[in-house]
Amino acid sequence: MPTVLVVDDDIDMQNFVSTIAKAVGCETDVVASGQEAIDALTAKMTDIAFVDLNMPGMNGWDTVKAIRALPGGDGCKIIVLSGQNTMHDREDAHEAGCDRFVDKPVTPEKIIEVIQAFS
Amino acid sequence: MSFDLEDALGKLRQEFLEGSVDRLDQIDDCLNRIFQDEGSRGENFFQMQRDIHSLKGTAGTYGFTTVSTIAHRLEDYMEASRRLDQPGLQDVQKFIDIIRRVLETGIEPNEAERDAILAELPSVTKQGKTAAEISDQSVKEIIVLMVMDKGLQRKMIGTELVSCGFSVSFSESPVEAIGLALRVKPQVILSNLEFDEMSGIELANVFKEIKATEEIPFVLMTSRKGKIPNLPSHIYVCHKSGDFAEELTETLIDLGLFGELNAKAGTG
Repeated sequence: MPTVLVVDDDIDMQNFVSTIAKAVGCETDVVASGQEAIDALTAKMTDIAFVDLNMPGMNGWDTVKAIRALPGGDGCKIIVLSGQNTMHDREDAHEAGCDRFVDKPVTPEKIIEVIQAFS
Repeated sequence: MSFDLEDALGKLRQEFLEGSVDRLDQIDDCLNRIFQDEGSRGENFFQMQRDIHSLKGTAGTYGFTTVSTIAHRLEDYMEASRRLDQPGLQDVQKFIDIIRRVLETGIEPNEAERDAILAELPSVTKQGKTAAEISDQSVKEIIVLMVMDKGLQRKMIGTELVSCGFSVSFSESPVEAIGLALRVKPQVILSNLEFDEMSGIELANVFKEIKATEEIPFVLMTSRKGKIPNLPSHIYVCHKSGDFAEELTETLIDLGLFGELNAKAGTG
């Protein structure tokens, strides 16, 4: 199963996504900011990254761009998870380099479907 | 889904409920600082908006769709207010208190309970009073769902509607608007014509197909001049031109949602 990093400043969302990822057998880590994501992925690139858009400091779009620029970052499947879901938000996220945009609120089934799609 | 996952999610749901108390306390702290003019008003607002936005997404994820809807209405309230003065801040406090009350039960309300809860929510009025405070004037809350991208135009139309006594709920996309309409049950829907996902006409047709929304009047706002080809007869049109305000007012009067007819509707 793929390795997963969850990037979200909301601890409830971190727990939600990581619990589901672990339940389907993924090795999973969580961080609370874009900067922490860069640090973690520089140390060890994961197969999948779930990235929130609305984070303090480095926002989700910049985090996606930064992940893509890391060595091995182009192989990471990036899923943006966000409650900001206008067409502009989606387009910006895809332009930044995300592979999939998933709206919040999100269901466990959706998280599992996305992980399986990229496994 | 395996039993273990269900079990783990149940525990997480409980953690969310416990954690939401801290989050609501944090919002209360921000509100208190704004009330007492302590620290930066802008920073306190920013933090409060972040917490409310976060609560909206997370509550829905854990199955508390009513809390998610209340948080959405609170975001709408804050957007539609010209500036939150003391009565406005008290209204924000009411929203937070209602969210707290729902979460304290630990159970998602049923439909009837949810409707009663949503009916309690404050709305912005011309004088900055809540609908409840001016109930002696028999004002009935009329909810307008506006489907438009964020921006100056939405802010201006929304603020004008609020100043006329309407409650306004905003949606940025047609897809989101469908779910929102089912939850907030607006009396009228105002929508732009052009969206990337589907057109305003297609959105109107979707609403017409859903039993819960088929009777809600749908008003299309467009800058196109002249008649729109193949426009279904159930859609009203207001042209974004110099006469937009008059056209919209006339449409709302025709629908019995504004003016004398509104006053009559509110006396029941």
